[in-house]
Parts: sequence; structure tokens; C-alpha cells
Amino acid sequence: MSWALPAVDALAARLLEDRLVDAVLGWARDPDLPWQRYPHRVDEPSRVGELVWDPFCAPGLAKLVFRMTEGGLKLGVLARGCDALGVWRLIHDRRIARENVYLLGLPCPGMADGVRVWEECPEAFDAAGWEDHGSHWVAVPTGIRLPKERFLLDKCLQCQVRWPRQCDEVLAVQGGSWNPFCEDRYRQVRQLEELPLPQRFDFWRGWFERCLRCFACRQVCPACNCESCSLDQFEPNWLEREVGVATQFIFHFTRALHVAGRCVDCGECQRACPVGFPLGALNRKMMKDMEDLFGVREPFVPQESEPLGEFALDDPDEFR
Amino acid sequence: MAVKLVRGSDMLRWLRRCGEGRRWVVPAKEDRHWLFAERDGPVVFPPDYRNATVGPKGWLLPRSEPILYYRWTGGRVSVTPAQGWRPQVIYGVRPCDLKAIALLDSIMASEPWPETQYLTRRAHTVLVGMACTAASSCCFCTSMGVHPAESYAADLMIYPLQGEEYGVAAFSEVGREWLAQLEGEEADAAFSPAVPALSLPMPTSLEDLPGWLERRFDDPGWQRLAWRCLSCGLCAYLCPTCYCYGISDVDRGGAGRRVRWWDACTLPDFSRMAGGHDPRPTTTERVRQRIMHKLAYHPARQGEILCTGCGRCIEYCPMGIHLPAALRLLGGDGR
Amino acid sequence: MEVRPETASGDIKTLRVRLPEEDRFSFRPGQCAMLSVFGVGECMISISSPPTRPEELEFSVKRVGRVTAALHELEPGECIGIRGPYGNGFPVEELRGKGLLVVAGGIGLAPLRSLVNYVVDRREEYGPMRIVYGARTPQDLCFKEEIFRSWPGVPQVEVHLTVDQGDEEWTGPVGLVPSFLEELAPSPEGVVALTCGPPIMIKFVLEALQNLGFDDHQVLTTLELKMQCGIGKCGRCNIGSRYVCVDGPVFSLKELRQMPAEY
Repeated sequence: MSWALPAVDALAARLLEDRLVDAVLGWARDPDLPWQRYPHRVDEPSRVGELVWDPFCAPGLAKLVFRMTEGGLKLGVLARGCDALGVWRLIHDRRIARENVYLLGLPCPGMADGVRVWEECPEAFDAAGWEDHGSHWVAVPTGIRLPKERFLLDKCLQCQVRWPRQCDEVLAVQGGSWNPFCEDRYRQVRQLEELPLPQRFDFWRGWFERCLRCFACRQVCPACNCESCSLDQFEPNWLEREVGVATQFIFHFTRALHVAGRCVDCGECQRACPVGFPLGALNRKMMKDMEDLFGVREPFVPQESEPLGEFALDDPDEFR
Repeated sequence: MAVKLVRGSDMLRWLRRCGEGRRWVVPAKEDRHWLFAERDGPVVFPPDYRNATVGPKGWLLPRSEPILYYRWTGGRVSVTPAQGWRPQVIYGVRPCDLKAIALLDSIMASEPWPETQYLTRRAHTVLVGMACTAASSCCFCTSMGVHPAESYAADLMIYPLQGEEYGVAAFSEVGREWLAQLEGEEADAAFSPAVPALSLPMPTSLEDLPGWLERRFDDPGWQRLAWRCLSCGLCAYLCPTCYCYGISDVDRGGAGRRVRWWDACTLPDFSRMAGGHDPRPTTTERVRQRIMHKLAYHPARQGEILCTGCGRCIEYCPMGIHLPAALRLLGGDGR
Repeated sequence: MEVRPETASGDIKTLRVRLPEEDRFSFRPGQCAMLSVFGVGECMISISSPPTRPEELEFSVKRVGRVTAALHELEPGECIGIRGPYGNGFPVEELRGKGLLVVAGGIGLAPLRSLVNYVVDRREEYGPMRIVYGARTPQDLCFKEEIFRSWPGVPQVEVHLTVDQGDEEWTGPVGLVPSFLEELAPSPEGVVALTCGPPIMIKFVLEALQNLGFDDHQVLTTLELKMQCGIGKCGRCNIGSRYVCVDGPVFSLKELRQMPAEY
């Protein structure tokens, strides 16, 4: 079964011409770096040709939406499942208004590691279009096949939303199969849970030593949308600027707990991290806890009612 | 090029002998990324090794470190400066990172106040460089006037030749001392350096670049580039020539330390003053500051471009903000 | 050490520090020092006393954040750290023989006070001095002893005061410093203007001075940016090709125009 990734320029043009939106957010190709796509905004129908949709559109768009709807701008977002969930997180957190976004859902073939493809198969980028053939992405018209097993981005491995949800419209696609790439999302979490405590601590300590505390993970995260992060505060100084195992522990565990129940598993944090910190494991542990402790079926989908996001007078536990 | 020829295993043995008693800092692969880490000694790199994700900067200007300790006794405070520098060898440093260290050296040594903590640690460091035989997809050193086989700040330079063979040359007194302990005569060897895959869309010569950028200070291209910046510090932390740091006190009730830690001009509160005034309130000003500092302000101040083309900003910025994008957007391309 | 409030609200206080003779350092008016409250932090404060009176080393501090709050809460006898002097200071040699027009707002008078008292102490070396000073209310005027009593008594020194808002006892002029300055219309002939105050005041004062015929090289101002190391290394106060802590804080208008407008 195979399906062709549609060209998005016509879609974007329609949204703009019909004045459904004031601007469209998608991706553009970097003119100097054939493997790189970056988030791009288009305001006029004449410029929709700048938008591209292919298996190299790695960056998540949701966090950018955060500031873009200021002033009441209505933004169309070319949204994969992960982007749509990220936008819904911002809506549920009341950081953007629902009426200011129009989500155009894009069924997703999974994204590829652009640099690796460039290094191993640069001819692949000479493509006029792309098709999803299940285990491979196939370039059109050259027919070059890129195996997903080799090139799929880490963040796509756990994806449950290849067919995007909660969008204003979803692109019709014939013949797509939307199975997740990996059956057990909590595989790494389970492996870590099975480690005895001292080994588990060593695992995390090793990563704390590598973490640069560059805050890339926090800044790309749609759930981290506080106006001012508590860990940046000086009064009180919750987190010393000094970087050591203790302060790294505080940073990562605080962020994991603040994001617990709110993470949409977009994987952007993991993709952004320059040293490969296993943020996915940390955040999915929180998700697993949400399932195990609170019975939340799909903890990565923003919902009206969220156990950690609400207070009700008849909550079973009290603050002591 | 005059070098001493040596086989890989002999080279490692010789280096280890010379560096006896020192801490060895070498590129090491952790999971999928190469980082400069403390190890037993030098290693031979796999043929696909290009450069480490995080350069050796942190071993000269640590991610965070105390600069002084203080203690209160009976209403009076006593202050001791941080001290105790362990001699180290940083091995396997690529020319882009070597040039970056040379730039940092001249910045930290600049009058009227040389930064003695960095300089002392630097004086305790032997740098063993490794010339490049192959470029990564993202590096562009030659566009920045940096050559992939130059020694710059290195005490010793290693040139990978055919098969197991290496050429070694010395560029400082320490380097010469070490090289004297290596058996063999100097010979002439041909070395083919890497050719960077990337050539930046340079709008003008390197000499004219600062002026070209300063004339475009108010160009709308900055906003078109910076709008997607998420204000993390990744570019500054990975960049081998970025050196900005912040200072704060870590108090432990009656005693404590004053520490400095890497900072980044891209982070939101970098220039925000206590009263609330912030001359760089949006990403536009901050991204512009970072790039202008590298390519215009520092050259105006100390005569050299503060970028060595290592390519890390291209490879790792999650939103695709980097030097090629900046130059293209300001060149009036309009994207 | 003594602590003396300058304003009724106490948001500005002057700290007088007594250094033992062997620790005293020479400095120029306009230079600054890093004051340390160990455990809280450091900040860069202009020296508001003149080098001609080394036994009275003074710093006037406005309370705006953690470190300045800690400085404000110090009691006499407590211990602070001082390192310096940093910065370029005012070009006192080049100003000799010239007339001086000192225009300040609020706490901005602090670095200029060092210069004014220096000139007062070496009166014959300098031409006539006119001081134009304003604050939001009469209670916010700093250095009241000097502006009301001692300075007007010095030969060839005029003091013109204004406030944005008067009170029942205020009988003097009311109005913002820039417009007050334009009304006074001092002549630029043989005069160097020096100004310091809130960024918005400086902006309008510079315009006013231009309207009055002052050339760019006749106007000096002090730039204030966030500073951390004080030694031109940490990058915090970098603006254009300068570091304010090393190349400034005193800049001429001519130099300011060559800098990016990020201050």
C-alpha cells in the first residue's frame, strides 16, 4: 500500500484566498542545505510555493504558534499529529485561543534524519515529490527508496497519531496505513524500571553529566509555555545557575513533573537535545504513571479533564 | 610538510608517556554523540569520526566553576580565590576548534584586565590537534578563513596519512619537547586536507563582512530569521568561540562560593536589567546581537572573525537558524 | 561605613565606605566599582564621591533588585567587598578650562556628583559650571545638602532644579528636565555638556542639546547596561564593538551614534 504526499501549496493558497486564515505556518526548504527544512510562515497566496511537505520536515510547529496569534491573528497550521496535539496543549493551557488557529491535518509518513540521508544518499533529494510505501519513503520520479528502519527520526518511533486528530480538516489521502512504528511506547521505560536503584541512578547521573542545560528541550516544548519559568527565577532561587549533578537533577525532574500529564509526546525535546539525553524515557515514565495511577487512557492527548490539571473539592487526596 | 612519521600504536604509546600524570581529555562516543570526555589516554579514531558535538571549550572554560570562596567569621568575610588546576592534555582537537581556542586565548588575555583563571588553566593544558581528512556535511571552515590542516593553538599536530601511518609536527616549546621523545627523523610528507562540503553564500569578502553587516543593522531580514528562534542557549553553548558567562553566588549559610557559568546572549533575560529595562527584548535583537558579535563587532574590536566554521549551529539548531540562513536573508533574497 | 538615605522613600541611599589607607585606590570621576554582598551577589555602582576626597568614598545606590536591596539593608559596620575602579571615567584633563553643563535626572546625578565635587575642589582649573537637575518629586531629589546649600555657594556655579511634580512646599520650577533645559537655553560656546539619567530622559536631553547648538563631540553621557564581570570578558555589557565596563561608561554623543541603538 502506498500513498503520495500531497503538495501543500494549493491547500495553503485556498486557506488564504478564502480568508479562512491570515497566514499559514508550514515548512520551507533551506536554499543552501538540501536536507534541512525550517518552519516558515506565508502571508500571501502568491508565496505558497515556498512551502514544502516531505519526509524531512522535522521541526515541530506547535511552540511557534504560541506567539504568532498575538493581536488576534488567525493562523493556519499545516499540522501533523504531533503538531496538532501540541497546539491543543496550548489551547488547553489557555495560552492561545481556539478560534485563532485553523488546523489543517497532514497524515504523516514519519520523518527522516536529513543529515544522515544527505551523507548516505544525497541523490534522494532530487525529488519532485515523495510517496509512503510503508517500510520505505520513495522519491518521485527517481524511485529511490529510503528505508525507515535506517532513517526514521527517534521522535517518530513512538508516534500514535500518524493520522492527526482534532483538526479542522484532515487532508484526504488514499491508501495510507497509519499503524504506529513501534508497538510498545514504554519499552525503554520498562527497561529502566527493571534496573536496580543504584544502576538506575548511575544511568541518570551519566546523562546529567552530559547535559549542557542549554534549555533547548524546554524551549521547544509546547507544554513548557509559562510566561516565566520557575527555574529561571532568582527570588526564590529554586535552581542554582551552577551546573552539577544536583542542579541537573533538579532541572530535569522538576521539568518532568511540571510536564507530567501534559506532555503530548511530540518528541521535539529529544530531537532538539544536542547530546542525546533520553528525555523521551523521562517524559514517557510520567505518561505511564498517568495511565497506571490515574487510569488516563491516552495521556498524550490533551483532554478536557486532566487529573493533574484540575482541582475539585471532592478530590480524593488532600493537601497536607 | 616536515613531520615525524609514526605508526598509530607507537604514536599512542609515545603520547601516553609524554602525558604521564596529566588528565587526558579525548573525543569519546557516548551513545550516538561524540563528546570530549576524560579518559585513560589518546585513541585512534574510527574513519567516520568528524568532530565532537560539544567541543573542548568546557575543559578550558568550564560549564560552571567557582571563581572564589567566601566565609563569614564574626561579621568579617574572608575570600579565597579558586585554585588547583590539574595539568591536562586535550587530544584530537580539529583545526576549527584549535582556531577557536586561539581566539578565546586572545580575548581572555586582552587588556586592561586579563582573565587569569582561564589563562592559568590554559597554561596547564597541552593541545594535541588532529588535521581533517574528511569534512562533515555542515562544516565551512574555509569560508571563515580557517584551514582544515592548520595548527593554530596546538602544541602538536597529527596528520593522518595512509593506513596506520601518521605524521606529527610540533608548534610550541612543549610540543617540541614531546616530539623530541619520539623516535625517528623528520621527513617530508604529503597530506591531503579535507575540503569542506559547504561553502557559505558569502555576500562579500571576509574583510568587508563586518561593514556589510553593520549597514544592514536595521534590515527586516533579521526578523525574518529570528522569528523562529526559541531563545534556548544551544547555539552559544555548542559554539567553540562563544564565551559569555554569568556570575552568581551560591550561599550555604555563612560560607559559599561565587561561581561563573556559561551564559548565552540568545537567552531571554541576558540583557535585562534589574529595574526591568531590556535593550534586547525580542528574538530579533538577540539573534542579531549573536551574529553581529561574531561577524562584525568582534572583528571591529580585535581584528578577527569570531567564527571558525565548525558547523555545529547548522547541524544542531532545532529551528534552522544559522550563519548561511542569516547571510542569505540579509542579502536581499527575501526568503 | 555609613548609610544615608537620599530620598524620602528611601529608594536611593548613599553608602559611605571607610577604607584603610593601604586599600585606598585612586580613581577618576565617572568610574565605577563592583560592590559585593557575599552570598547575594555583586553589582556595578558609580563612585559618587570625588577622588579629591579619598576618606569619603561614597556610592549612591538605587534599590532595583536583589543586590541593591541587600546593599540598602546594610547597617554601619557591616562588611562588603569592593573591586575597582572600572571604566573610563570622565576626561577631566580635556575638560580643563571649559565651561561645564551638567544635566541629570534622579539617580543620574550620582556619577556626575563625583565630577562636580572634583571641579569644586579644583575650581580654578575649570570654567563656569551650570548644573541642571530634576527628579519626579521634590522628595526624590538626591544630595539635597549639596544642591540646595553647598553648590550654589561655590563661585561660578549655578544650580537649576526642577521637578516633574511639585508638592505644597515646592516653590521652584515644575517641568521635565529636557524642556526645562531648553527654556534655560544655555549657550554651547566653550561648554561641554554631561548628562546622565533614565534612558528616556537622556534621549530627550540629547535632542534638546542638539537643538541648542551643541555638537556631538561637545556632549558626554554615561551608558548603563547590565554588567557582571566588570573586566570586559563576560560579554554582558557588549554593545557594538565596545564593552561598557571597559570602554565606557562615559561616551561622547559622537561615539554613541556609531553604536547600535541597543541601550
